[in-house]
Amino acid sequence: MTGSYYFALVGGSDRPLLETEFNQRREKEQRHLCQLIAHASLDLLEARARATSQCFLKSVDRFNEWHISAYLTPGGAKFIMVHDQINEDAVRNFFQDVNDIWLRLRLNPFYNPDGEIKNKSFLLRVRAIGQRYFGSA
Amino acid sequence: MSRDETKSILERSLSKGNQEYSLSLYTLLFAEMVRYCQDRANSLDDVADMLAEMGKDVGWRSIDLLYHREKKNKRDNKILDILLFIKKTLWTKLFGKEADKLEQAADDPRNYYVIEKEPIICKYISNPKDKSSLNCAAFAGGVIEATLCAGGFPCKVTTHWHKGTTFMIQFDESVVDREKV
Repeated sequence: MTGSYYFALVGGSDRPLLETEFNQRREKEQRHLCQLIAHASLDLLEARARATSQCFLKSVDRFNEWHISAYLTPGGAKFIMVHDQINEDAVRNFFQDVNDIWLRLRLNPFYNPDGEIKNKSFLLRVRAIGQRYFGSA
Repeated sequence: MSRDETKSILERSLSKGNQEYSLSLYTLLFAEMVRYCQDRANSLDDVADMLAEMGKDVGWRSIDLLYHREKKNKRDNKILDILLFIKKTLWTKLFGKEADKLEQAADDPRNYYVIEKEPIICKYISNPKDKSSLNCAAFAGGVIEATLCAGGFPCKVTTHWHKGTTFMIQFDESVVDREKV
C-alpha cells in the first residue's frame, strides 16, 4: 500500500513557493488540511533546526495519523513533507534530489529570490523525483 | 548551437570548473556596475545602497551552492561558524583570497567586523575628492548581509573606511539571545 505524500517548498519569508502531492487518495479537502499541517509545523521545524547542524531534520511533528518531515537548506528554504506512512529513506533521498535542482534554480538570474516558482522544467522534475521514490502518482 | 547550450539549467554541472578568472574583465565589470549605479542615483548614499542591493542578489544565490560544495547536507547554527564560512569560503570564491580579519566588538556583543585592507574590486576604482565618502565595497557588504540573512541570522551590514575597509555587521537581538541559550 503506497502512502500519500504532500510536499511544500517554503521560502525564506515563510511563503510556499511550490506545493505538490503524490498518491493523493482522498478528496480535495486533504490538500487544505495538509497545507495547514505543514505551516503549523514551521515553529517546531525551526526549533529542531536550532538543535542540529544537519539539513535533514527527519520527523519534526505529528498530527493524528500524519507525520511531518522536513529539510532546511543552508540558504533558508524549507522542504516540508506531510505523509501518512513512515519512510525515512525515501523522504531523505527525495529531499536531497530536490535540493540538487533547487540549488540550480537559485543560480538562475531570472529567478527572483523567494519568488513563486514558475519554471515548468523544475515542476516536472519535482514530480518525476516524487514518482521515482513514492511509487505511481 | 553546441550541446551545452541546449541543456536545461537544471542539468548543469556544479563543479568548480576553471578557477582562474581574468582580473581585467572582473574589474571592468565592477567599474561598469559602479557607473551604472552612479548614473541612476541621486546621492552617494544611494549609490552605496544600489551596490549593496546588487551584492545581496549575489550573496543570496551563492550561499546554498558554496555550502553544497564544502559540506554537503550540513548547515551552521552558530554566529562564529557562519562568519568563518564567510571569511574563508565565500571570500575565496568571490575575491580569490580569505578576508584579512574577523573581529568581535568589545563593547557590543551584537557587532562583528570583517576587515579587508584593499578589496580587489576597489583596486582600480579611484574616488575623486568630492566623492571620497563612497566606498564601493558596499557591494561586498551586501553580499555579507544577504548570506547572513539567508542563513538565518538577520542583521545589518554597513561599510566603512577604517583600517582599509571595514564591514560592520550588526546582528538582531534575537540572534544574540539565541546564542546565549
